[in-house]
Amino acid sequence: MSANLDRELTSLERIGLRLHLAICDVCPTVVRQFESMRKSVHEWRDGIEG
Amino acid sequence: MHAETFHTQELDALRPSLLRIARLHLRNDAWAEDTVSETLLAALESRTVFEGRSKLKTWLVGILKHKIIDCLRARSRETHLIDEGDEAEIEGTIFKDDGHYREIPHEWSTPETMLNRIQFFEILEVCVDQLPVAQARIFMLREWMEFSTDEICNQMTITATNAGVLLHRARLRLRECLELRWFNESPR
Repeated sequence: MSANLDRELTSLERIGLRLHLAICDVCPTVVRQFESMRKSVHEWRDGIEG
Repeated sequence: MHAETFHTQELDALRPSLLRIARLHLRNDAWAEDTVSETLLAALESRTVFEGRSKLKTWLVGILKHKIIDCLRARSRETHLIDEGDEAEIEGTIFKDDGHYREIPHEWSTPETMLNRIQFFEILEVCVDQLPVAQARIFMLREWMEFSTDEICNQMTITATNAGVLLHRARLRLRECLELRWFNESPR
């Protein structure tokens, strides 16, 4: 799930991720939390650098 | 516009902000001090280049980022980016033996008011500061500087696998820290 934020997954990895997300109820929430962290770091950075 | 567009006093005034950014990335006070000093020196030496088209701080931060990368690259042999975190411990607090989450993750709400956002960023800084050094350095390169994984691997001479592991562990730790210190606190 984390690798998806850092690089383009291979076809096999994409299928694996989709399967994983299909059977893991809470994982989509964790993915959104990771994405939210990224957005927060950018806002935090912009505040400090601005 | 050139030489007269800024004075040394203005550089002095911005030094604390630059030092904060350098410390966040380098996690080493001496390196941070050196890097900021080099940045200010470079700014003074090339002050005629500064044309005032951007804010002085923006220009200095741009120089600082290059200096931070230079510092990390130059010291990559001594830093080795060994992940010194106790991952068994952190993963034990997050996952059960069967690999499922101990606590069901819930949706995070975005801090809405300015005061809440400022408080949230203070917590975020504490959480980043608590990351193991290698994880923090890679995380900041990826998320703050927005380097690609390939760029990080080239600059830091580490493998993509190693970078991926460090980033994943950093995110897990940050997630735990934010859950504990912010999202599980009283409603914001």
